Amino acid sequence: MIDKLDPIHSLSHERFDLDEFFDSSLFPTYAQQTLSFARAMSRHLLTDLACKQYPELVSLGFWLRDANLFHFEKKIKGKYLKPLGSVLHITPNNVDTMFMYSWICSLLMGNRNLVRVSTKESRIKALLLKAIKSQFSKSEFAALSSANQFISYEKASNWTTYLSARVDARVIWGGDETVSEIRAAQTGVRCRDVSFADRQSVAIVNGDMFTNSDTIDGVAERLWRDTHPYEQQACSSPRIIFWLGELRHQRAFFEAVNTLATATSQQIYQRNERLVLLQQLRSSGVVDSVIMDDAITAMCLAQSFPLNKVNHPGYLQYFIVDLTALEALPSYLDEKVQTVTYAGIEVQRLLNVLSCPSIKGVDRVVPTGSALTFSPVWDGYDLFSQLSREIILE
Amino acid sequence: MSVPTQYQDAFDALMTLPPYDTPYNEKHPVLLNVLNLLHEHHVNTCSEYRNIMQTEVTGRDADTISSLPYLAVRLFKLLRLQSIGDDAIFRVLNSSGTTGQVPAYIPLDRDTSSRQSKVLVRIMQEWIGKQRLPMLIIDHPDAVKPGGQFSARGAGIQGLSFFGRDHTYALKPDMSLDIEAIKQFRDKYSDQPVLMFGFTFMVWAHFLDSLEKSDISISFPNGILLHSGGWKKLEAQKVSNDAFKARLHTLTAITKVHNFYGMAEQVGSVFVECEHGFLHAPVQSEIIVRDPFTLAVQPHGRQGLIQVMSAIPSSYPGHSILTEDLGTIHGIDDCLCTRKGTYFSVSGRLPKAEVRGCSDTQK
Repeated sequence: MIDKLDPIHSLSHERFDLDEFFDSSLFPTYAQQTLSFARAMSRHLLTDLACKQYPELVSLGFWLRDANLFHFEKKIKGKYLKPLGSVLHITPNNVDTMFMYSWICSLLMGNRNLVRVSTKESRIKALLLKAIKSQFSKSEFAALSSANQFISYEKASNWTTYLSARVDARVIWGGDETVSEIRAAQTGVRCRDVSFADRQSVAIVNGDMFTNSDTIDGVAERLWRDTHPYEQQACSSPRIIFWLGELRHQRAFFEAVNTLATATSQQIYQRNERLVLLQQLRSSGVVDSVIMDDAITAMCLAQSFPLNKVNHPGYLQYFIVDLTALEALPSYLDEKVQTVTYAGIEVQRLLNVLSCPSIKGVDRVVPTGSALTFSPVWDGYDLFSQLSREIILE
Repeated sequence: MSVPTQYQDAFDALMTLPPYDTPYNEKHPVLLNVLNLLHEHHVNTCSEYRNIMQTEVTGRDADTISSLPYLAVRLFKLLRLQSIGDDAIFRVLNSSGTTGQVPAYIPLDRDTSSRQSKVLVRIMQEWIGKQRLPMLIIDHPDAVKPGGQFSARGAGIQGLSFFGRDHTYALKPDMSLDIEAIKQFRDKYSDQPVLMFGFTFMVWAHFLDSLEKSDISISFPNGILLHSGGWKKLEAQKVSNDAFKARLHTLTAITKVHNFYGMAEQVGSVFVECEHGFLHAPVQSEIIVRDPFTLAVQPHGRQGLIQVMSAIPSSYPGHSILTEDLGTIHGIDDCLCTRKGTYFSVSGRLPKAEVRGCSDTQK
């Protein structure tokens, strides 16, 4: 069977040996070697000059610090967990750092991991793989290195089919289409799938909280932090802003976001992409008003406009919906909604509204500014429990 | 819905001006008037255009060409923008730009179509004279298929065919040289002025490449080559305009070569390259270069997004379009070739937007 397969390229090692990989040993959860590897990666991402240019890599560097990983460990304290075995990770075509988080979660659970990375060139991917490769070459990480391989192969090849049959879990990034494609490949009967489908996120901002320019600037800065990385294309970056209460400061608020955007370099195509979407939406008469159309675009959409109908491509565009009352929120939240960020609202009040059992969406409710902070419970999955076996002792 | 007489009169006034001999001060008031009337016309007749322009300069005229509103060129792919009733459609032009993309939808009525021809004639006569020359088309006959829908390639060939006679196709449908046809054409016209037309990449990859490999030798010292369609594929092969001209001269003895810049969204008012290598806006059109990061007008000499304006289209709102091409204006009225008007160069396409994040929508 292997003879018929296309070549597989190792991006983290000199060569890839399938049998060697499947023979490599598993680790206990939160193993010392795993933690020192995370520590070394963290140090590299936070000090390497090339990595420091990318806020995505800096965030990952912070996330990998001991304190943060020990904080997550509290969730599994007292449980008797064993690794699941071999995990196949399918990462998005346009690689960013998100798949790193799910890989680290699997690593912390002691699994061996095959991470399929696309062949597409990307600066961030190159920096990450270089860092991983250099850590793996150290003798102290030899065992970890043989149990973790970054590979690439042609999408059309039958490697996915072959590997799916041999692994104990698959972590599938890449949205609806990729998820369906990968899940069509048969697995063993006990194989677990963690599928990250297409999601989108929203923010709720209470206009009543803005009493002075400091409060405006603070929330604007946090919304910017949530939307600037990945050109607002991460599934947890808010694209729709539900505006509650006082409208008086709406313009000043988006002006503050615009000021932050003006001070940041953008891709050369972004401005044109925003023009295309704004003109396209305007052509059908669904744009009530344009609050800002400069380094960001913020527009109020007609109340009747079905928000799930528009394919929001990111690129720093904010669809504003003026909410007359918080109680009107559930009608907008379909199953696609992943994260709700909030500013100026008591969590309890928000939870009262969101607790309505018929809301199918919403897997995270976090303060504005934390939309992109990865937690081992992500998109409705507890990655630690999905990627480990819990033994019940009585 | 017929064209408002006010616009038609203004267009006719513009047509009395020579295409390359009208200085800025004389051209601009006349062209601006035409463009303002076109804007008003499309606001009145195309509901999508009216909606898009809701907060723009509706109801009052722009006082400079650069303050006229514009549409993003991609809208012609995303929407059906039309300022005439379906019954007035004479022909629909489809362009796909790059293979695999949604084609643009450009509806033409008889008036617009005839204006396109008139302007193209006026422009081309300046470069190839009034006589119809024997014409070698660097393409194959199947590229001009009869029927309702029209590709930009077919439309380009058909539009230029008007300037030639004894049309001969140099290629076969499999893109190989039609040696017999080329030989006949050569034996008949070798020492005479002839016109050749083809798409830039096709001339390079299917005509010149094959000529070099074949035994046939041709020489048209009095020939003129017009070519268009973009340099993207040739740039990938690191072929410059100079290299293109040099190879053409070696293989065909042609010295008069004019590239031109145009698009399906604005057929007719094309920008032809002069002897000094600059593209020129004729009196019927204008170009502006905008900063891709802010969309503000760029000063001359700075590269940016090209906005094209044309006096021609009344059947669809395509008189002012922001393209996704990058270029640089080098000056107005003072090109060394002595032609008046804005002269510029095109440097390539705006890089494509990247899809990042958790989902890959790349299909």
